[in-house]
Amino acid sequence: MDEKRKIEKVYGFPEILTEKKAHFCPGCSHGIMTKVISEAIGEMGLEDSSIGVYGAGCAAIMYDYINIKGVAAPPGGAVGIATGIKSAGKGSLVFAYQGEGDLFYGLSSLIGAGVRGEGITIICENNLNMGISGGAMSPATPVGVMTTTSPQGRHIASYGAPVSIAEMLKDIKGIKYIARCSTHSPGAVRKTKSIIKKAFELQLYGEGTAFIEALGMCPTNMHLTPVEAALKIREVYGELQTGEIKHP
Amino acid sequence: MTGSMFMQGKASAILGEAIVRLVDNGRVYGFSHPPVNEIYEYIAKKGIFAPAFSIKEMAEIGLGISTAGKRTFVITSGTGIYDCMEAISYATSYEVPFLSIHIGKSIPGFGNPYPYQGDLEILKAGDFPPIIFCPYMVDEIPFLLSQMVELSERYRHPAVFYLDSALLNMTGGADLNLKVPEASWGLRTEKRVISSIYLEVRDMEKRLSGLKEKYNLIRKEARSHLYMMEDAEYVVVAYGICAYIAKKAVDELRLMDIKAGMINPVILSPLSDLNGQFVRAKKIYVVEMSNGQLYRYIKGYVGGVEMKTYNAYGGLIPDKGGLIDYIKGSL
Ligand code: SF4
Repeated sequence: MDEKRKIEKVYGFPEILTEKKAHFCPGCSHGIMTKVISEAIGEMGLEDSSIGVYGAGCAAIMYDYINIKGVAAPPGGAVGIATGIKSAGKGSLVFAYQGEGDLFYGLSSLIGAGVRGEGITIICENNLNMGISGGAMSPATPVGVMTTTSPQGRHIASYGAPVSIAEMLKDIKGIKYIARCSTHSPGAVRKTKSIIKKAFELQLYGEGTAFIEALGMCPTNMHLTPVEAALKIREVYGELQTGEIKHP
Repeated sequence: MTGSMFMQGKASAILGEAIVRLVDNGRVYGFSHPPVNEIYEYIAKKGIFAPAFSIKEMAEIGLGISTAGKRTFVITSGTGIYDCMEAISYATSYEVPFLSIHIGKSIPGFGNPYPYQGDLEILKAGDFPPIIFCPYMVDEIPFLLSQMVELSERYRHPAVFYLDSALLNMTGGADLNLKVPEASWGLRTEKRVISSIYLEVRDMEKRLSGLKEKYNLIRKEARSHLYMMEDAEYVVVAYGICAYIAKKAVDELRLMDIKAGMINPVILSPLSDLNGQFVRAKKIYVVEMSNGQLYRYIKGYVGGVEMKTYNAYGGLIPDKGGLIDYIKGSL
């Protein structure tokens, strides 16, 4: 019996991902996030209406890799710029993408956007250090982790305790959606994509501010191989509440 | 928003109404504090105000709105402008307008809310400083503000409307029929990327020469208000409330047959070419509320003419009678 074989495309190079050679170090999660965000936008058909605002740091030129309208923000300014862009044109899907160091730099903008419930998506890639600075300690660096500015390892007496970003934002009413995800394994990456798509969807439905904390690897500054860095993130990930922490 | 409307009242309300009309259904994010709270209160009543949580956030949102291709304003006073400097620098590189209204109050530090002109050297610093407009009386506030908007949008370059807090508290009357031609910039155009990052030095060099060329065109827009300068031998240079006072002093000196005149830079930066303005001058008097910032600024234009300075500090305003006596005493 003749059977017509059905061919279904199950995977491909995301259309809005440019072919430009990325500058990220091997194993860096910014590269993974670039791809995941591109896939989410492509699968939702939002290529023409999306605007990405990229924070200062290693991912500042992400606009070179994702072929949508993009802005490179001043240090700490990604959420503020995204707020302004959204305020100027409600029809666009606007997201801010920042490392955790940059996010803390612009904390008043993050809180302001959250309190007013600005309809933007904030994606914070938390790789436990400030990559662009050559690996300085960030407010989220775990206790014991050595960085260039905590060379003996972070200890609470001198550096204070690390901040859990997602939890810190939980009580802000205008932030309707908070999730913590990771890029340390293929399964975690798939979950990250669903979370991003959900946050984008909520933005389209006008459901206030969405915040995603995506844990990720910075093998270069962790002085680890990409695999070791992923295992380290898995360890940290295991210690924190993950998945959807707050939803409308 | 256009349509004739003559408004009589305090400068803060006139400025507020001008902002409402110029943003035309847009929003102004702000951080209310004295002495700019009255402007915010006015625009809040008109429904266009949204609260920012810090001046830095306000500046970033303002930059974001402008980057998206829409008009808005950021409003600061005193040291608040320092928190906007980064946004001004980025707007310069993004080549988008950035409309700032800055009220000069007594500094350094908190100082007091009373008038001062201590920000001139900070505002006009750098290779491509913002275009600085400076009204000297309440009546010209809306018209000059609309001119500033037009220039900032035409050249896609930041601008600051620099007003001292004395003027903000004065009353006057002004027409608010403000027309600014449509312009488009930023993400509203075909531009896909707005960035200030040029990692290749040659690219950055090219970028800067482009800005240099543009800034040379902006220089041609500079203008000063010349008052009784045709035969003036005693020239007063002043801006803001000081120019308002100096003009009255010049009128009275003329009644005493003293050939006085005044130069009032309407655009403080870039400064119009003052070469040639001092050829008949016997003495120049710089009247300002700062420790010689305007004096140092115009020194390069005056050649060998003797310069004198008449300043007030701490929130005090130069006194007209005192200025007249000072000029008469130094003839
Ligand atoms: S330094 Fe770290 S965060 Fe920056 S690109 Fe390299 S791996 Fe990524």
